[in-house]
Amino acid sequence: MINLTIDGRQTSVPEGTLVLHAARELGIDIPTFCHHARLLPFGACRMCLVEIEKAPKLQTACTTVVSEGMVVRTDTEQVRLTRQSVLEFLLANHPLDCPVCDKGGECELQDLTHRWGAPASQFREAKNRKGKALPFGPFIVMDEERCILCQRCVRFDQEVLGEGGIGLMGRGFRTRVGTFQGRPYDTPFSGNVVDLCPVGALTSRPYRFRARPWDLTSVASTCLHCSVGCAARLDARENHWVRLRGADDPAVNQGWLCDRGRYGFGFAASPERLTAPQLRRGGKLAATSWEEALDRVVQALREAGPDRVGIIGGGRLTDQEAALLHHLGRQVLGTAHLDRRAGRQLTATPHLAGGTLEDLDRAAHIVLIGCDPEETAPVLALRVRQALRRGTPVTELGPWQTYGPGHAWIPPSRWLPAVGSTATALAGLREELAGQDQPVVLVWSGEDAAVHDELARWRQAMPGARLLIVGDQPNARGAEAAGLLPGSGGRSTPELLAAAAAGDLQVLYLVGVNPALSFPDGALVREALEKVPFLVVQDLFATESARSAHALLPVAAWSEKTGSWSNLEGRHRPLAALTPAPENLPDDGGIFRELIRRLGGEVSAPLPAPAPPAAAAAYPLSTPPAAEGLRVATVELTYSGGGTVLHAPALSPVLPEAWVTLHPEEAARRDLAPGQVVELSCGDSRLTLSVRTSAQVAPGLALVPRRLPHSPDNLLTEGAAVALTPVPRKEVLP
Amino acid sequence: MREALMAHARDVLTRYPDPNSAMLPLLYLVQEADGWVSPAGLEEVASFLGVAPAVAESVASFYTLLQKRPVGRYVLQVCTNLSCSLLGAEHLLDHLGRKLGIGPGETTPDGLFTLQSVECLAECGQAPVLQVNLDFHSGLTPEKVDALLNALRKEAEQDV
Repeated sequence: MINLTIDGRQTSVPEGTLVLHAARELGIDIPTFCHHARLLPFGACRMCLVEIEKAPKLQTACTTVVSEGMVVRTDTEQVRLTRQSVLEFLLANHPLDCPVCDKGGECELQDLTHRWGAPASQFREAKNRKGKALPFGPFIVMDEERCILCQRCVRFDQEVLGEGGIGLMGRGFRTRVGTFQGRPYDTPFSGNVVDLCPVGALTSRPYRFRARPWDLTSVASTCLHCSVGCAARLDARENHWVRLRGADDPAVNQGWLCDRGRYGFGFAASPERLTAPQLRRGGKLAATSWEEALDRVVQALREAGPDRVGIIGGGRLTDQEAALLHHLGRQVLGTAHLDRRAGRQLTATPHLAGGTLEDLDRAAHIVLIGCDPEETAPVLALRVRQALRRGTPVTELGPWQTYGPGHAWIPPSRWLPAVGSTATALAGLREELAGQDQPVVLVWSGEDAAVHDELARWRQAMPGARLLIVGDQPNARGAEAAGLLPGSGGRSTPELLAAAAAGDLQVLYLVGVNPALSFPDGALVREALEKVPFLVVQDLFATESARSAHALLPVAAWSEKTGSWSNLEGRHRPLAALTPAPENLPDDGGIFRELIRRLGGEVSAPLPAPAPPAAAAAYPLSTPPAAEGLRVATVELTYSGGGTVLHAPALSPVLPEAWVTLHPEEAARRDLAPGQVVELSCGDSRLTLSVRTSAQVAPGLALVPRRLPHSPDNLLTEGAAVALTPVPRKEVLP
Repeated sequence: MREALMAHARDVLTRYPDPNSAMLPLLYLVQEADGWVSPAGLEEVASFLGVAPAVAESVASFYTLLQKRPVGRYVLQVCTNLSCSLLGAEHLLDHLGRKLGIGPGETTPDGLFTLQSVECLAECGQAPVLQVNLDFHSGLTPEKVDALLNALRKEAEQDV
């Protein structure tokens, strides 16, 4: 420990502590701009200058490390005048347009000027003019005149993302923050620079001119877009959700968010949202009352009997709602045919020691198994990037490589293309690592039964290995813990769909899932949804799966309900209601309660604990046929999906187009160039896609994005042979 | 990177323990080859060092000796910092502009001269000063500047 005195008070802090932190521990506030708890010490803004005895001039508290016997003064006239002068210089060229600045009211420059600034400026000269309202990527607007060059954004980009996409350009009073040649700031984490900006230089396009901070009501909640569960603050103005910002949960997101989470909130106010229950009458869906809709659903459930009812979904519910759905299914309806799964994922619950996000920071080796966390769990991927930069070996098993040489500052991972079988590649890796029981962290997509079985072998071979499964729905893990998996004798989702297609199922109840887009066998799911005599769809939007629904039950969004859920670690994540649900919209739990009541059941608290999840492997997806030539592989994208992503207006500039990515050699062999439009045919199905090439896709594969509403990948059979035919460019008619 | 440059660049790289330190010499190499540091040149250097192009642009944009736009054969950089300005740098700049028919930042149509005003060239004792490419000319007057222009024109003619 190091002993020092700050403003006459003795303190003792660990070696290496910064003067700033030693002072803050004593409750002595030293003002800062460039300093940020999650970034490295920098010392750009000079706001934190303090007196240190024996130092010839003032020192920056945010970069000076304590030393034995150090005497620091933060309360002297010289320090006060220095703070005043620093602010005077920062404001010399600042436009002082606070009345029309989004940041006004929550601006660090405004706050510190209020506290430490001089009453008037000595500067009488004209202010330096720079760029105003410059586009800075799809979500951000840059006002260069407001910028104080603290470089928090630049440092975030370098230290946290490892991208180097932004830098200080120019010198002297012409210095500005910019991107290479003014190109759009292109990263899936761009919005974090807005949270970091201490002034109004970087502002969010969807939030611009929408609210004053003092008119906002806020809740501390979590982002429910993926299974990471980032801590977030949600802001509403007059019951309109206007903003979502990162909050610092050290074990989860450390304050960071991805752009999908941050800017994907617009779905809640979408005019496309379902507002009233609908029943099919004379072949058409028509709005009706809740009374009638629920009566009809109850009647259908009663008539069907427990063995001809199937429930699919639950990964978007809160833990409490999932428990209610389990109770409704197992106890009240008495059916074992419940399954939260609606896509390729077999399980979201680790069957060897479950890992935490922080395990990634301590890992001796990280293995990504058929999983691209950059797309499916972006904030988890930030920890993988950090591990790569620290030199931790990262091995990717799968059809494509995420961390290839394309990433600027991040060393590439090792890639085992695993075109034949991911499980075989994983077994090879197990043998390679056997005997050295290091803390290996495996990050898995939860897909592929062979991988599931191989991982069971890892449990014996590597007791130190930890497994993280990225859920295909945010609360996939909570739903499984609540027992939303087929019970003994129960049918899994593929079996339920097969039964429906064969006319063996009377009622299919879809809860917040869209299997028409997410289930890999597109022909089966379409047939099942068409044929089932009574289809109930409970969702925010009329999804592809709702087209043939007999009853459509709209619900509250996650920002409109309170409860908790479980992220991919199984960690408890709180959910708090920001705004009330639109009139007459219950939450999912409300519908379950009402159905339970009408079916003569009881909601006794606490609900009985569910049985442990059934064997995950009991999920019979058809295995890909062995094919020659070019084969289909699919990839989940951050902006895949037909629900909330599609209905968030802010995301429209980044929604993916339908593409097929080939290895450059495969493209060259077929005389295809990037950008060219091709027809991909697979069996009887055809998709029109534009060609991309990447050396990070294994040769022999045609990589297609999953779950695009305008180009459904499940019309193709994963692993099946495909042919690509160039589509002649259509002449544009005048 | 182009073959000839590549060999030179690899040699430059061996001189520094941290490859990023080779950024400036590599940017000069590109400027020597192309006459300026183009966006393509910045990308070339960045990819050679394994950094993002914005990092290369950030470095290049700081230095007035690295030209971010195409320039003439002779770049006349007139110091307009304090000492030089007190001793008439502004007049010198005006004079050069009139003689060449261009303003600061512009290049003569024949591609011979580019005029620029720059910050301190570290020759305050001999102010006002200007720099022609990498050569200093100090204690300047309009007459001396005229003589300089004539000499440069002659040099250019002889080279043709």
